[in-house]
Amino acid sequence: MSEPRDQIREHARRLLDEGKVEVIIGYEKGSVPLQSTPCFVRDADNVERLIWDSTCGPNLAKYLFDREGKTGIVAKACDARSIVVGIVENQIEREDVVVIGVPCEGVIDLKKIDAVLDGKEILEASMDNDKVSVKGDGFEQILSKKEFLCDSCISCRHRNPPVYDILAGDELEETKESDEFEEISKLEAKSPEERWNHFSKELGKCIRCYACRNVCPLCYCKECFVDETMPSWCGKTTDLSDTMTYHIIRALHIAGRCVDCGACSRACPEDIDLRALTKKVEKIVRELYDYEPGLSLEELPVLGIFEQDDPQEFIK
Amino acid sequence: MILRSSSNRSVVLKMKEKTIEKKDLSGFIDSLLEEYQVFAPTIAEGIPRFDRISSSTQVSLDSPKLERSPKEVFFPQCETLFTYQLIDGKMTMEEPPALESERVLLFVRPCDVKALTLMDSVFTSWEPKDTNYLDKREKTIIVGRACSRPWSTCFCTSLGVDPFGKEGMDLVFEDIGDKYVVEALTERGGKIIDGSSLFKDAEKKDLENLKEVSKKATEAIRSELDVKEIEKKLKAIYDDSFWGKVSEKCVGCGVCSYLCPVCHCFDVQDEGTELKGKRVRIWDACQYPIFTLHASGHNPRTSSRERIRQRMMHKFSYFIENFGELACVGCGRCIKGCPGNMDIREVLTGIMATEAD
Amino acid sequence: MRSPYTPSLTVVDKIISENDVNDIKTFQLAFKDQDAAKAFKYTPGQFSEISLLGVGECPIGIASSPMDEDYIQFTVKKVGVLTTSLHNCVEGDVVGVRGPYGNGFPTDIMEGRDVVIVGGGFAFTTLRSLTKYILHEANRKRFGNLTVVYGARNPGELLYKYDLEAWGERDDLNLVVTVDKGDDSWTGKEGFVPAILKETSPSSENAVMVVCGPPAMIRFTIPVIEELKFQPENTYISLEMRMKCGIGKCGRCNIGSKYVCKDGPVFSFDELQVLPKEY
Repeated sequence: MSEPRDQIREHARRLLDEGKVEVIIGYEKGSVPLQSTPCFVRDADNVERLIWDSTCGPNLAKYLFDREGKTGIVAKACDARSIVVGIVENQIEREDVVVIGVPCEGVIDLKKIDAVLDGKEILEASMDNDKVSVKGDGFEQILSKKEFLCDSCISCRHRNPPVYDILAGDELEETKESDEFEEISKLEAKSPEERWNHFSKELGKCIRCYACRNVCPLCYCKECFVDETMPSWCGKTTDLSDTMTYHIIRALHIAGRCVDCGACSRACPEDIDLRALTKKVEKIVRELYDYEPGLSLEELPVLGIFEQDDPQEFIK
Repeated sequence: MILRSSSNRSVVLKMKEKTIEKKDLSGFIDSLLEEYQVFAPTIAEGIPRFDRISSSTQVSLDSPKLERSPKEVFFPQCETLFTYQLIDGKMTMEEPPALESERVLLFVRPCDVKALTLMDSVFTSWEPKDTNYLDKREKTIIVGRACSRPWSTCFCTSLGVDPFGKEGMDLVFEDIGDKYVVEALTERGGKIIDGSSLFKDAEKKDLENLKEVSKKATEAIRSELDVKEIEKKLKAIYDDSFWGKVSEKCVGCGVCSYLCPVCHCFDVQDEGTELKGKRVRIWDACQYPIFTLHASGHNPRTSSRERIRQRMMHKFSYFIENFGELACVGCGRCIKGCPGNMDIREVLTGIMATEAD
Repeated sequence: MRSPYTPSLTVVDKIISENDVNDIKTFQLAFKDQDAAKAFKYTPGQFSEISLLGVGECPIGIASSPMDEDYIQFTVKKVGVLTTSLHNCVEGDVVGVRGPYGNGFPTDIMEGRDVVIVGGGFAFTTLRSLTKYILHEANRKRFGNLTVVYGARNPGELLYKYDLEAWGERDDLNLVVTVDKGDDSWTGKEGFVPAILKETSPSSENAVMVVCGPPAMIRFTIPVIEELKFQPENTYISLEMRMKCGIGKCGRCNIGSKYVCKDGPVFSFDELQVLPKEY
């Protein structure tokens, strides 16, 4: 079996040649070591630009919303789950999309690598299955990829895309090595004051750039509540009350929809622990409804439907 | 009026170079703190940025990544324009007080000082001047720092910025190993080192070292771009399909604008009730869809195509028309900050390579 | 050093409802401070940043004439946050005013020449300022023939009915008022502004035209302007863009290298020809 990357290229070429899609959305090598960048291929001669490796972090499902025409998309498991949510929420037409699913062992978190390099800048990097070698002025280091995966990849339970048209690469065995909600449990064990301090410190860093919202495929509202002015729900300043309102409401708005792809955390220029909110919300939804979003095209969004036996302890 | 050390009104002095041992730097900074409010590169919650310091121990000169631009020292992300209050049926408004004394901003890179002089153009070239910005700018002594360690994303030299340039600085520190060569460029800059025994006259050897270091740093900048006459090129390709392609991956967040040392767009908002509150200005960004949205619903820039084009046109064409300079200093912050790794160097190369269709 | 962002306070003296559906009102404001009143010198076509403290600020064209010394007027359509709150104001309420800003209409260029004013719908506000200014007895002789073509969707939408009535009785202007569709009591013209302008056929010789209106009206009026042989350098338009600061700093109202707040809002057609069509 050839590499997933070669399979992606092969499928992309065929889909374009046969006119099945107008564009393939995938990843290409970025301009900075260990970064990939979204890539839109319209010409079969350009499929060689497409790559697949552990740098393919951005959730490409983002680009399917509001798109017209037949589109092929390279989707790792969490991207595919976002696409499923988009389809069940009637934002994406299933028949307009050809999903090239890719089983994924996790993407690397550049911030974690930067942290161990202590200020040394990576000028060159290469990767194989489980190693990342980085080179810079006067240093060369080989790192174990596993130690530098994104937090959302470490706790990932769905490495295989639940829905796809074509699978590039072999299905992976799902792992349950660690407790998915370990970090959340640690936060829950803290006193309210400690938790408040944690959230104040983290959300206090927010610069309101909205990178978290804008890279999130499920933040597709035509007008986000923070941008609404009549009435104005949330102040636009960087005061803690405003940044908290923004992040808490966003987390609630993606409750039962967030697939924990981690794109928001990777995009945040201030390294805010955004998953402390979103993963907690995911946990609540799991506990209340035993539901995980983005796994089935048949299941309607859990907070979009009502059933007689829905938990209602909160109604006092 | 205090003399400002910007490009167009600088008082250029030729003073003899001094040196200071690196081990004496903290002593110098602490002596400054006795007299001035001092801002310097620090690390706050893992993010290197310019902030007010109370001790030399807070200064971080070897941050693990490029620090945030110092624009927030003059143009804070969120700034009160005035407060208001209704007292006994009478509405009173109060502006924040002007700075009482001079401040010192330490160790700013040449690209960032250049960026400040560009921001000066916007905020202070025509009436009415932006008094909030001007007050901070006029009362801040700029201590530059020659950039002996460029990052891989730096491309300042392609845009005419010299990593050892001194434009806009009052005083400059140039790292030559175990000491700094220090040069006062204005009287204000000279004033803060005058009388300090920590500074010695530079020796011939120090200046030779400096030449060597400066040459090495300039050579270390890897990116070379040709943006000659880019403003003409941009005009020619305004309607080109290039913009549709290049903007496709932009998700419309504000990272590039907020990290940019030159971007100066802002929004004005009221915080409070009709009885009491404040009017604030907050950074804003041209990549947000609502930036130009009219109350009527009409929007002259409906998609990322128009918005990316606006960003590039503003920096590389409109700014030249208005002020004769580019509104980009090649610091590369937007490159590493962009969640989609949109690289302004590639966009520029793409612009130069596009033949109008 | 006073900040340019701090408004002067005014009091709402009078509120006039301008149309049947009551979503356009004229607010007559008087400065609380006499020095501020004296300092507020403007020309027709300029605008102010109008604010309600606690709500916000927005740019509004000045509807009164510089010759109206005791007050300033702004005609406001209820569309957004600020304008909706403004519509809820009553006489005696306090309103902040910054400005005047922008370049205004080129009254100096108009001197000694015929002036043709063409307006449609709500955009007539600053044209009313210009008309009043030219008609003032101290100014009228400085200008040649004055033609005003003004149209609205229906009679109920016509602004400044009190002015239109008074102007209709004067013999020193050619006032042509039209509505897209009349009602039972309407005895005036019916038809769209471009057609009525063509029918009115003002001479372009030694004349200046000023046109303001909704985009569709402008689009169909341009061929008529060309047909009437008004040269681009003698034809002016006032543009609207979203603004915040009003003084060329906040960076959002640009069209190409020009800021509508500072370099406009009034542009000649030949100035616009070299600017991108991004408005």
